[in-house]
Amino acid sequence: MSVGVVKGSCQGGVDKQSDNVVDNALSTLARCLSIASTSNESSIPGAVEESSWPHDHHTLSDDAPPIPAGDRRNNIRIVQYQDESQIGDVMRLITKDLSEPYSIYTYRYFIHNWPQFCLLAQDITTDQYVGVIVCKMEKTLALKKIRGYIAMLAVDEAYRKMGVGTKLVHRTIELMVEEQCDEVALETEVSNVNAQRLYLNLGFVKEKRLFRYYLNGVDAFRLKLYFTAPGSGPAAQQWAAQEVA
Amino acid sequence: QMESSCEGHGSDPEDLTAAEREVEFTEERVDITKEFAAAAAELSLGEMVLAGKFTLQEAMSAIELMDPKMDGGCVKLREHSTVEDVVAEGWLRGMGDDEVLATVDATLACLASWLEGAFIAQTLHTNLLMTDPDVLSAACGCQPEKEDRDTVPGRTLTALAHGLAHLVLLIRHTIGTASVCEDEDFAMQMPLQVTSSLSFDETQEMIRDAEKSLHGVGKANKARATVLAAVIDRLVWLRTILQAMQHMVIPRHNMYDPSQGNTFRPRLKQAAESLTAAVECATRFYDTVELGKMAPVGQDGDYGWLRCFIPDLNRRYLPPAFPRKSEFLTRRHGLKHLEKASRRLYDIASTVPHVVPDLGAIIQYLRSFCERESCALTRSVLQLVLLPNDERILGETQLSDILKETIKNTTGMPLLCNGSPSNRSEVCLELFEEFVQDTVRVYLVVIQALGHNLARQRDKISFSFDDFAHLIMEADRVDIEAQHVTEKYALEHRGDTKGPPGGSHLAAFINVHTLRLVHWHFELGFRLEIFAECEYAMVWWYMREVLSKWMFSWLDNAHKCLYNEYQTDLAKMGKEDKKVAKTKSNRMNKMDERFRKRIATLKHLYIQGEEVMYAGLHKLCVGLQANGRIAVPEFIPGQSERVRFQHRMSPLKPFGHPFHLSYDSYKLGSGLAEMLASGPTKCFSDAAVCFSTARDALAVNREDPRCVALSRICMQNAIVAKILASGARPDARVEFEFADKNFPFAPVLKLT
Repeated sequence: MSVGVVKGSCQGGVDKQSDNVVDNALSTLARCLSIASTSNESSIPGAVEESSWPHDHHTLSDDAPPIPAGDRRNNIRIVQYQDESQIGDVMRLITKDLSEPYSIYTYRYFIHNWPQFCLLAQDITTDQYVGVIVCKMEKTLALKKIRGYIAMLAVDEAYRKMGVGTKLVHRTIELMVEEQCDEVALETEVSNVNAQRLYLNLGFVKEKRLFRYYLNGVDAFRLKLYFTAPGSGPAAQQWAAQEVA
Repeated sequence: QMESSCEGHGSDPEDLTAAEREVEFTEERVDITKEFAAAAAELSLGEMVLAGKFTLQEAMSAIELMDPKMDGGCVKLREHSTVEDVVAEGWLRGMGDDEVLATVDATLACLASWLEGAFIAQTLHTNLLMTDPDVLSAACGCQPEKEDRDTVPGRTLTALAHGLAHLVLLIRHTIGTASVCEDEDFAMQMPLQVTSSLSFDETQEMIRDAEKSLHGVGKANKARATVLAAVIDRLVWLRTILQAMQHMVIPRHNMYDPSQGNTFRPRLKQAAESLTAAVECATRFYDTVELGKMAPVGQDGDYGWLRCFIPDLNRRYLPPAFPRKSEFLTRRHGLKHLEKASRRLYDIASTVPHVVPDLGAIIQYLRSFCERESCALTRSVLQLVLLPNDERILGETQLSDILKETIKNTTGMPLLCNGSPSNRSEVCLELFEEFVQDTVRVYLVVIQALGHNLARQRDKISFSFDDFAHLIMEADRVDIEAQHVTEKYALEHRGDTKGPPGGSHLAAFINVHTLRLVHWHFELGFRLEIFAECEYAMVWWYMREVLSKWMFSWLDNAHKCLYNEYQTDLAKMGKEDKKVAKTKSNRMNKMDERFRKRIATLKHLYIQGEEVMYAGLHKLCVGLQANGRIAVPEFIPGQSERVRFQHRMSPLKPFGHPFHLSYDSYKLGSGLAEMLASGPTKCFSDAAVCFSTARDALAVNREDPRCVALSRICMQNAIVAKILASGARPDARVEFEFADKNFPFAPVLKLT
């Protein structure tokens, strides 16, 4: 069960969020009880979705927004993740296009370990969060290269085609470069042409194709944005070999 | 090498059920909601409870219990009937022919789904009757077969069960042994140990008896003949595929029995005969599916609408957080897949004997095999046919011997000519032998690399580049020593080199092969759609300036070497006794023929005009960069393109010059700055000239289908380039259409 953190009173916005999280937990528990109490449930959900990590989390649509873009484009500011009170928004934005829920721990793994790389796009006129990017950054053992990884990127449907996604990615990469990053990586479905366009425009290239990477059988591209020259010598070869496995 | 067993599980469906019955759960449920919420309230915002060995990383694997999308066990597992039960209940009695056919087709479609990477427990083994062939036979054996109707379902499904039990183990053994498949290609896991107590031959016999029986029924009942003929086709297919696999793939017992002594040789002629029959039957599958019972909603789905299929049957064997979506191929698609696989196997059996004498031909066949639709099974079979035991191709010929023969045929190396100075030099021979052994080792890796799916293949090939760089150096050493020895001999014998003069024979050989492999690496980059538009200019420039030019140079070298050998042989013949004129002219004709053939093989490796086409593509891309149609992103100005280039080139680093280039060499060599400065119009018109020149060169050779295809591409591209140069369509977008699957590196340009 994933139960969010509950804080008693104060911070109106926090209360609302934390109430929602507790409500979710309670309804899940209730659901458990009801399912457990029925003995011979005959129907099983038809197609059950995969739950493991490999899933394309770069949700950007091709649809033109119903409202003229110009109205909103300049009202977006990029803010850094502050605390658990925002995690509900992060999850809302990302899971909207996914058919299966993710355990909250998946989000927490990234956001709590690398809060500096979790950025939200906020509409200043409504204070609503309309986009989010979730990343991590690690030093690779073999070559001592620092690699950033973009785990998730999502923009609200009504705010698409306004450069919000590009803004989020661009800002994140700037932050990573400031921390001496050697390269930034991500995976995306080969059919996700919108995500590829966004990243390729920023200078990412497709390092390799991963056959049937996603559990629904679809191939993926590993995209990379390089800042430093490739390593050389046996260490580099070994590293490259590990990458394939 | 995984063993198919479920010993670890220790779970037989029946055992678990018994165990469940024994344990009685007493429940006393306490509602702890309030206490739980109170305890959680003591944590501050963002605070979590962690343990030393359980951090957020581990927590990521959390699943939400009782959420069916994450928790495979949340819905209670049901008891299912056993095979014995259902036969006794009369499932098979009175099963109509259309249902029999549909069941067989659904089962075979599940087999195809398994071959395409789905889990066997969620596909093939959801047909209850396939899970225990021995019990099925016994149960059917007990049924009084009063009417004809009973013979058909019983015999068919029993034969199918035993046949598939054997086939599944054969397939799994093949794929496991070949080791060219990863998780994404094929699922090795087999929670249910499905065995047949019948031997291979007994199974064949059972299937044959079933065929005969059905044939008899069809003869007696004309109305049923068509549907039964379709069922017979499936049975014949199964029988002949089993035969073919047994002929082609080293048996399991051979591998573990030292007394067998690496003696297996694939019997390709027999396999081809079996596969001819298999393909013939399979060709009829697609159109006869409709004779079988149709799904109620028109969708095949998970086949739960067929009596014998229980989609939930094996859920208990799947890992908890693993409710994968099962990819069920429809009957039509599944059977089509099996037809294609049969054809691929036939191709192996009929083609491989012809390619094995030449190493280049072997590599070419491996390449072309995976360009077309291969699958985990067919790729694995090809690997095991080529190298069943050890380094002997087809279990017969040492790869080193084939290598030497190939070198001889493509270079006419004096070291391989009896009596020549280098052939008599121990040092030369030793160096050569070392080269051969090292090259064999490298090629064993390459052959296996070419068995993987294309995405993995590209990376694995690039790892061999380091080895090829070393082989090039070794080859140079051999050539230098051979040349030295030959010259020394010539000095001492008034210029007589006693055989062809020295040259870079071995270097030519290994460089040509290396360049072909590097070309394949780039070709795969196009096939897999890896290159971004901003990289096109660089890639096509490289393919022209480095790959094509050096290929031409080395082929020219090899040509000269062969010519020298030919001349030497002619001269030798000239000195012989002129009396035996007739045999002499025959021998001369043979020599001529051999020389011509060898030159033709070499020439085949280089297409006149292809090089110029690359130049055209390069110039066009630079033009598009010049007018801003192709963006060249510079996140860090002045650095990004350089770094992108370096990373693309990095697999070639082991080669050093000239196959590996620095970014500065590229900029200098391509005249990029000047081209950009001269403006898009000049670039486009230069490109148009290149395409026209290429087209003219290609059009000369009307017999080579490759030239015909490329010529057409160049003609189209010339037109587009001219239009762009004229400025007639300033707003048009240029699209690269990689339409011809044979030439993924040669797009047709389209204006939209």
